[in-house]
Amino acid sequence: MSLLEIAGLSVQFEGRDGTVPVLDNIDLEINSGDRVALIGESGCGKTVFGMSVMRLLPSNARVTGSARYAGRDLLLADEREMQQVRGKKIAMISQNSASVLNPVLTIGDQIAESLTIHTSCRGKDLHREVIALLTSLGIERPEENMQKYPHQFSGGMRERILIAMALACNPDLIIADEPTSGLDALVKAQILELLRTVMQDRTLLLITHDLGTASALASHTAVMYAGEIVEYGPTQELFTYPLHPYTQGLIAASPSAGFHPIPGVSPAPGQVPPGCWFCPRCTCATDRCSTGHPSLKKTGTNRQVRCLRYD
Amino acid sequence: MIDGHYLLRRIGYSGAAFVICVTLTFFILHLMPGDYITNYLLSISNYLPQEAVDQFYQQYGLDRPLWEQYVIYVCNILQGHWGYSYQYGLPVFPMIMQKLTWSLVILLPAVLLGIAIGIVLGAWSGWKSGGKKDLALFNFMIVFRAIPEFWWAIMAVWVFAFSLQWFPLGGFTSISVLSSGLNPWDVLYHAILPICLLTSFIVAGNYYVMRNSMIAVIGEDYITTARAKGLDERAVLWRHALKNALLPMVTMTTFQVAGIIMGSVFIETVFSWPGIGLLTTDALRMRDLPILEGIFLLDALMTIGAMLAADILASHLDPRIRMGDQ
Repeated sequence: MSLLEIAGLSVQFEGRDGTVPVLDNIDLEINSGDRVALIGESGCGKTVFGMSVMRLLPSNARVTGSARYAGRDLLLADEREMQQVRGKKIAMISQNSASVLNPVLTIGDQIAESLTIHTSCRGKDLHREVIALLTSLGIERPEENMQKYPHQFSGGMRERILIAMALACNPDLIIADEPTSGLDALVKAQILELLRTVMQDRTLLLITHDLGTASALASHTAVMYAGEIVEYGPTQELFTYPLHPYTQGLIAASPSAGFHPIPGVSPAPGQVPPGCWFCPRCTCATDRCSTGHPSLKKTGTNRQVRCLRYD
Repeated sequence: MIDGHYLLRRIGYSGAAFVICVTLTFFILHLMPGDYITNYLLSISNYLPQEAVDQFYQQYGLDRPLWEQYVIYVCNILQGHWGYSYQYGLPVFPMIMQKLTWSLVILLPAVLLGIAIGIVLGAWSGWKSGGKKDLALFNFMIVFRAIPEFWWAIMAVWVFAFSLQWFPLGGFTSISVLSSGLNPWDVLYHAILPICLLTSFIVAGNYYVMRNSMIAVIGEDYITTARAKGLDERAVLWRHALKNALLPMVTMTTFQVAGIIMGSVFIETVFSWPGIGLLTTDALRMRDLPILEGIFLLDALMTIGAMLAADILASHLDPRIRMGDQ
């Protein structure tokens, strides 16, 4: 059953020098129980995508298209309605745990906050609930630690706290934006293991540039390049038989495959080349690639790819 | 809540700052050209018998070497003796306290109102930054602050006291004080205009700091986190933004409370308000060093006390400070 259905989602930012397109015509369907990874280079629009679904982009963002959640288009919902969705139905694990927690509130207060707004849980029950959350996320001595402030925790611990905050109201969908960035290898492995456990029966939209994280957690993967989706499919299949040259390049660039970089850099927003946007960096580009912009085509039973070679 | 070692260290620093203040004040004041005799009694100093001049110097210890005067001065203030005024021959401390009381009549309400209104307006303006209402208020504050306060004071006297005759022209009481004694309502009536002007200026100063601070805070990631939890805008502002934005205000406002002594020199002059500002300018003109020393001593004490209070207050607001200077 489709939980979140995004169709034709585009985002443009209005600036002093006109509008800058950041996301172009994104279609993505997330079914209940899916764990979808959105992967791509830094700056390709992954975070903006998550924020646009939550309706948390700054006021100069122009969002078009639709994002249907439980039959309701979130892009048309008013602010009050969105407040009922945020944290309760769709929760977010933001990237950069050092700055996303409020430095002057205890972590216990910050976790309890979502419960206070969205549930009738108060007093002793609330206290118990927070302790249960902290315990389930492997935070020792929860009674003592919930009184502490964010700066008193390590990066890995803060990540666990962020996960606790997101899980607090038992939301239908969790959007996790780079949940393992900035962690050392050992802690990263622990957090991945933890996420794999707690996300077992949940629906997840994972935003990451790390292929390892995506393959460890996601059932489906969407590859994003310069603000559009270029490939989509079940994670295992996609990583084993990548169809799009960009996906192939990403996999070849990963450490385990020997660090073969993709030549060139991704285009700045609004300065995409005519034809296929990946064409200037593509090793298999032909003449027609620089003129016709390919559309996202279904290939096989459950794969989608945006490349003229599969037309 | 606060670490004992941290507190002790702060108190140690405060003591050191106090010693430095007292020393600097003493020597700078004594280095001023002229003294009470040459400045004030100049017109009659030619007729003054030399014995009288000698006796004045001797009586106030001014004939001794400067370092000896300094040692005596420090010993005296440590025992609570603040000296005697040259002009009035009265003990300095009660004189200053009496004038300070009068200053506080206009300064205390002005500072408290100014801080409160400044914080509220600044927080609101910063929260709405970029909007029409914010820009209107912001530009108004710029113009208001760009013109010196004594000009506004003179304009206020002209418009509200002279033309409209809503308020008295100056002073702290009507002539009726001679027949029926001091009437608090009459004093309040005289105090309203100076209080309003002082308040507006303190509001404008605090408004800027609070607005900037708020603008910095609303760009922080934890504000987005708060919204992502489903908090409404008011809860985001009150629970998450305000406490963080107040941190720079703590230092600023405690200094304002400390600066209360010297805060109203212009306003007191324009409105002939018999407070500490008038006493200062008067003592400076007369080279009445004991009074000046007393005023600066009090100012130093209040500033140092306020800094200590600011540190303690900030450490209550910001848990990161509680760890000490690590």
